[in-house]
Amino acid sequence: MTQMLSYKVLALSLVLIADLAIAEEAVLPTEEAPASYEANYARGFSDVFKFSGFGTLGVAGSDNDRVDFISNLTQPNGAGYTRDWTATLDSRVGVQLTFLPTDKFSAVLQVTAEQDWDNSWNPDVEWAFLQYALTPNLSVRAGRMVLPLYMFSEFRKVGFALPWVRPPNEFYNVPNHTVDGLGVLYQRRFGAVNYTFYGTYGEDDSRFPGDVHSKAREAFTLSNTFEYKDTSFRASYGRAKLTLEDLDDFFAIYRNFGPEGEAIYDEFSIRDREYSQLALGVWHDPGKWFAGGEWSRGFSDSFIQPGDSWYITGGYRFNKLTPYLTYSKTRRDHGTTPHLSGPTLAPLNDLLFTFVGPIRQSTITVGTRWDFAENAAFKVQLDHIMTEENSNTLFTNVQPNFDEGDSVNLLSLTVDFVF
Amino acid sequence: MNRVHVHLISLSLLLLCNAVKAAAEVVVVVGKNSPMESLNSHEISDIFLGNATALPKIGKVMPLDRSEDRLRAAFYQDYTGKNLPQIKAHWAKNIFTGRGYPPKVVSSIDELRAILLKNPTAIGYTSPDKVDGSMKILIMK
Repeated sequence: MTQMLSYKVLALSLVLIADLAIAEEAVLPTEEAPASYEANYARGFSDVFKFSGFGTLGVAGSDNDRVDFISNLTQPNGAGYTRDWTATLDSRVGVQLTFLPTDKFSAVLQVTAEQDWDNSWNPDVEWAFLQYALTPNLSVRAGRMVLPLYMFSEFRKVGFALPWVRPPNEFYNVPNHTVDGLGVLYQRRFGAVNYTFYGTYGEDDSRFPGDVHSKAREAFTLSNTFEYKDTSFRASYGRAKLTLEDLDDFFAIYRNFGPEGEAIYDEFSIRDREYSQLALGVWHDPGKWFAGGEWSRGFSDSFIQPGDSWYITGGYRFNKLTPYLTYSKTRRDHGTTPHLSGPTLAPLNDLLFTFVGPIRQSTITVGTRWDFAENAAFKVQLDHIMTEENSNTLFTNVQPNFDEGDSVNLLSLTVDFVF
Repeated sequence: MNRVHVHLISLSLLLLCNAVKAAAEVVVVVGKNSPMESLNSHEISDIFLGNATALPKIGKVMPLDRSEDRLRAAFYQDYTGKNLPQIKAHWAKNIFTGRGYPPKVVSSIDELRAILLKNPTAIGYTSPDKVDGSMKILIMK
């Protein structure tokens, strides 16, 4: 009896070994491979032209009517002071046409419409570039590109691709976010690590509420991403020479107040002044959950406050529900700055403070994403935003009765979709 | 004699375990005339997620996706470690940053078979019971 079992086990083992051996043998090519195997399928219309789009429908309400919460610096008003509830914070639509006539050449045009600096919803060109692949690993681009400043910068408007309603406000509020110029994209695998380099160089003209023009010149960004299994690391550096003429004119007024005023202008002038920043990020997403964070440090030769910003976030996927939690913080401070002496000039110092005083703010965010359909997700998010004494904030339309140190609660409901 | 039995049984169990592990729910396939014989998991993942468009010695390859959700879910979980919502978000990110489009989708095993036969550099996937003489299963390195 045991003898028979032994034979059966032995036979089974031999069959399995034979199977494995056959599988091994199959690795060897059976015939000489031709020099080239170009895929011989014809490019149809749908391979050459691609039309895609994304959008968000959202409402957000604030419990504090003394300040407006805005989701980017371009917005002239938001939730809180102007309106309790608004659909203008997160609602937007974007459409993209991609032209792929050959394997090596492509052209991308993306236009978005959202609340603009002048309260209009005029479409803006977000991306418009031509790309040519010099090798399968190396591509060059020319045209308008979104700056690869942070991990989510390039697709911060595509709500569907984000775990949250919007990227953490303390971290992602950047004045100039696109550039007209050249880009280089390089991607290569080194064993288990997938490396991507993306560099951009060019210039930008943007407009902000009050018809403030912001010019970025000699702007370059270098970003490096390393992906290893479920984890990615990112390091980037960016630098630009900024000019905001309207604000420079404001600081120039102080030149009428003697050497102290001259010192103020020298310190805060924003005519061809450099701003640079270093950013680091890490993201881990094994599928069931995700966690990550980013940190940045800004260096400034103008009124723009230098300093650090960071956030940490995490979420867990319960089937179609993905609740998340985020903490973000910014501390940007010139330190001791020149000011005018004499009690009669105090209002001018106060006015100066609103532009150059430290920005200190933090937010606790809790929310959930619900993937209720193949191409759409619903999100509900609560932000508890904390300000600090003797500090400015990232709010706009700040009313005199807003006390530094006050907090703001913001509730946001959005539906993100892609097509 | 008893010791030999124990050894044989443990060897068999080991082999059985390996065989069960190898009997994946989804196999990666190419046409019978394809020059491709084997790929490693990084290569499969890179090709299907758009991180790579070409392979050494082969050149440009054409990944083919499937329309069946269960098959897709199993493929992406096994070969890229990502679930379908992650895959969707991945492509939303890539499309709207000009980094590329998802693979062409075939709606049936017949369509997959036809394209694989015509294109030696096309790569698809299927459940093992649908594999026939027109295809070969890529060995996972």
